[in-house]
Amino acid sequence: MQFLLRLNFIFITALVFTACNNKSTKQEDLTKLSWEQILAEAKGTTIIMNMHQGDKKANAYMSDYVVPSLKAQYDITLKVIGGQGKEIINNIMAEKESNTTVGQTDLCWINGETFYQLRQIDGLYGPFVQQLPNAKYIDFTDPLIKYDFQEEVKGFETPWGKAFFLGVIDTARVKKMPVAMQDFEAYWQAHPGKFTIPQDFMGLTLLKSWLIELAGGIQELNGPFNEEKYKKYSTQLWDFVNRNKKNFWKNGETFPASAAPIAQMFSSGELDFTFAFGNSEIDKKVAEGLFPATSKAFILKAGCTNNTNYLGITYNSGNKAAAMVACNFMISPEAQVKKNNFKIWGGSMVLDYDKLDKKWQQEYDSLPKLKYGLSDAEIKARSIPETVPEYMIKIGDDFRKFVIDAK
Amino acid sequence: MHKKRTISLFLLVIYCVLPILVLFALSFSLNWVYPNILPQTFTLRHWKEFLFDGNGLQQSFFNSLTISLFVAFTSTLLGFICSKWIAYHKRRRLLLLVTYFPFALSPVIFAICLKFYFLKAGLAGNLPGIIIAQLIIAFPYATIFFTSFWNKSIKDYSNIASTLGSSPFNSYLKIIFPLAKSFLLTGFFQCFIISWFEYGLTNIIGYGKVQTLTIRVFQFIGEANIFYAALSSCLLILPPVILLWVNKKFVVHQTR
Amino acid sequence: MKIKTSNSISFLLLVVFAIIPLLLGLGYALLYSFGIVGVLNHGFTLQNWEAAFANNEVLYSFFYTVGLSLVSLFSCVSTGIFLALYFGKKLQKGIGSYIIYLPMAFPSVVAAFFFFQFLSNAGLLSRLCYKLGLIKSVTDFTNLVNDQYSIGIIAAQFFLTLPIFVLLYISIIANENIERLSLLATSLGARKSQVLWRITIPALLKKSFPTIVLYFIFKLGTYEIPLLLGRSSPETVSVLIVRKMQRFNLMDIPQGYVVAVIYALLVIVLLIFSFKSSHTVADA
Repeated sequence: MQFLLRLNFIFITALVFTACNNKSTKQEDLTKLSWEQILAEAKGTTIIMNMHQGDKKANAYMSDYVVPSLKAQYDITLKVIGGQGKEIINNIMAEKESNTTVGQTDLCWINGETFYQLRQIDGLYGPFVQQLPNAKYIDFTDPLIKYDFQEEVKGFETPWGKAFFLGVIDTARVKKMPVAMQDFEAYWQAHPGKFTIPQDFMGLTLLKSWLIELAGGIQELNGPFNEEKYKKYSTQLWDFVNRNKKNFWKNGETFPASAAPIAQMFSSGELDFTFAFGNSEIDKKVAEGLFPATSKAFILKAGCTNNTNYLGITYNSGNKAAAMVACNFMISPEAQVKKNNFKIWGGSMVLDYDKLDKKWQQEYDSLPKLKYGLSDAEIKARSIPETVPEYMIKIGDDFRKFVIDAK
Repeated sequence: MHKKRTISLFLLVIYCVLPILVLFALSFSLNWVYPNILPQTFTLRHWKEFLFDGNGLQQSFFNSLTISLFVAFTSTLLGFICSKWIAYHKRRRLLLLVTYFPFALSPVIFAICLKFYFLKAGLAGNLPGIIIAQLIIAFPYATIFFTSFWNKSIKDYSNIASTLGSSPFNSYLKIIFPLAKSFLLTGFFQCFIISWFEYGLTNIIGYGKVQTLTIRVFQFIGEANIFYAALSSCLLILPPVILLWVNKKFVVHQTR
Repeated sequence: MKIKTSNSISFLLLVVFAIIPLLLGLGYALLYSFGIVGVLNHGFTLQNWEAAFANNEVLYSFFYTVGLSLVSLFSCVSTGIFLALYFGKKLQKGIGSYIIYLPMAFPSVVAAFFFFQFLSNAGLLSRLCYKLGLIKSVTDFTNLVNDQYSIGIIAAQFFLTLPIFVLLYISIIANENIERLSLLATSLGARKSQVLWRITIPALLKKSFPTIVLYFIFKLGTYEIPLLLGRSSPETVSVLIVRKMQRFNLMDIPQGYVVAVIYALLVIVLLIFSFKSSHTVADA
């Protein structure tokens, strides 16, 4: 009896303790320091970076180039751990709830709806971008950089890479490139089981492209989130997917959790389509022997969705100075040009070519040329910006509700 | 009849051994294009990289080893002490039931619910935090396991010993430990394996910052890098295989 | 004196490591599900509980998980009994006795990975079929992973759990005089099949019942295998909970805690049932 009473008391105390917690966190203000002072504060420290680790080359770029360079040039130890949008948000939320003053991570690789949600919960430190010396190479008036999914960045994240959403096919297997949704439908009926949609950022961007196509173009979905429009076009979208999904991979009964296995299945011939977020993806994979040399990129009818990805500093990072120094390094011309080399990683530079010194312009020009992707001009001509994040979030939820869970 | 049995036994052996062979084969290959059964190229590259610490695999291996040894040792010790109290308690069954709960719950779900407390206590994302989290599932298991050791005969032995004037410490040393030796060893191995295999809980409480071997396997699978995943899998299986072999060969079970 | 201290230490250990985490975890999940704690929560509300049951996703998940565990367990128990009865001797000495332990050296992650490489459309089995001329291309191979019959999951779980049951039944046979009983029955005129189905198997099942229930509970919480080998829907309970915690729509996160509470209660109920139905203490 006494035993149970004691237990109850402990239980209740714990609950009460959990339920009322009202401490607030103080934010470090580095805006008053000079860059030299920030460098000094960063010296000899360690920072942790959250990064999507689905790409071998990206991981190698970080571990073989960025990490050693940071150590050698600034005496900063950078540790990279895996984690994408949802995990990052989850962790930051948990830290806010438990009033953690020194966070588990310092830097995170984010964009789009992750940025939006982090701002919703006040999870980012900033504004800090203008303090970075290398920011002078970036054109902040470029709408692609100034706005992240139509939300103004306001210096809370620094641009790191640009991406374009492209489809990829093997011209040896697929004779006519499907571009519009009807083309896809015809292809699926003729060749069932060769297409699927991953449940991650890549798949959602694809679905969003189709939503835009159904809406007749990006102008219709530009601007703030419109519930009516979304309902109207998404109903058509789910109709389209649901009536065709029996011709998808595995009869549309399951969808891969991420895009990583899709590239493998494309190369083994199990799938006829894959997608890529960069112009250099195909060259990269062909060079690795993963994709056949007959692969080709194409742009969907809605257009080539352009987005930029960024680096953010967590609100409770214990080492904001070092995080800023790391960001600065990663947007330096040296790091950006290297990153642009598809043999090392690939993906477009965020720096403005015209603002670079001659030396770096020459380096950039001498990078290996892409053979399989589309030309810059083609991409520019068909570029469309991202919609507001709410569309992505709703598509993510509804994809599960109306397609995956629909019986 | 005899032939049927031998064939069936042969199939059983294949069933048990095939996975290990496949994993080993994959860890030595560079690509495995469909529809070839054997990989095209055999290479020692991945193992060389491991030995010279590419990819931080060595670090992960030692992380896992440290954590598991700690957890196994602590949970065996504490479990042994606690099990004695439970075994001779009059509310033995109730206490045992209570001890079962944390062990029966899925570690992942448990970790999600406890993350808040670990964060508050500063135990998230570091080695001590993971050790404590794993103790929460290994200690109950050890307690349950050792409860079956403390039967009436052990109690009788200790009673006789104390009647004959032996100090509790002495009777522990000279009587109980020798009798419990095989139990303790088996319990230690089992707790080690529980901790060694743990993924979900370690990933959530450790934030992916403390990289154990199981986390690396998952990471490689996510990267679609099957060769490294195979290599880390081989590393993962190795200690348990050795432990199970030692357990089987040298440890004699009393009654279960 | 020494006994008193070790008693209170034991009590303390039990409380600190077994009872408190359970209460804290359950309490936190409860509070979150009712909206009392959580960054974006605003106070007590039942809407999370309503939302979790709004579509059938949660219910399906529980039914699916229970069904999967039952099938998996049934296959292990029946094969375990079969192997213990007919190969008992071979598996107790010599190479057989060591080989049977091998699958126990596999963590769930590795088993899931292996079975994916073995059973997927571009996997080892598919390549064997191709070489034997049974299929003509990658897509002809039947779905064995991420499929609607969860064959991959069952295969992986079967692989991991079979040795445990084989060893369990071998030890029960050795220790519980099953052979004597069946000899007795035979001498009284029973046929072989009668002995098997009326005496041996019921006795084995009865003795192993607590262990069976325990493993059923373990299988309910299975995470890594369905994560890698299962399909998008329905998901097992653990996978569902983790996914709900990582929703795009942050407002849905409390629903994950709802499911966690339900799962925990289910486990508690099953444990109590398992204890009530066993006369001897269940060893793990």
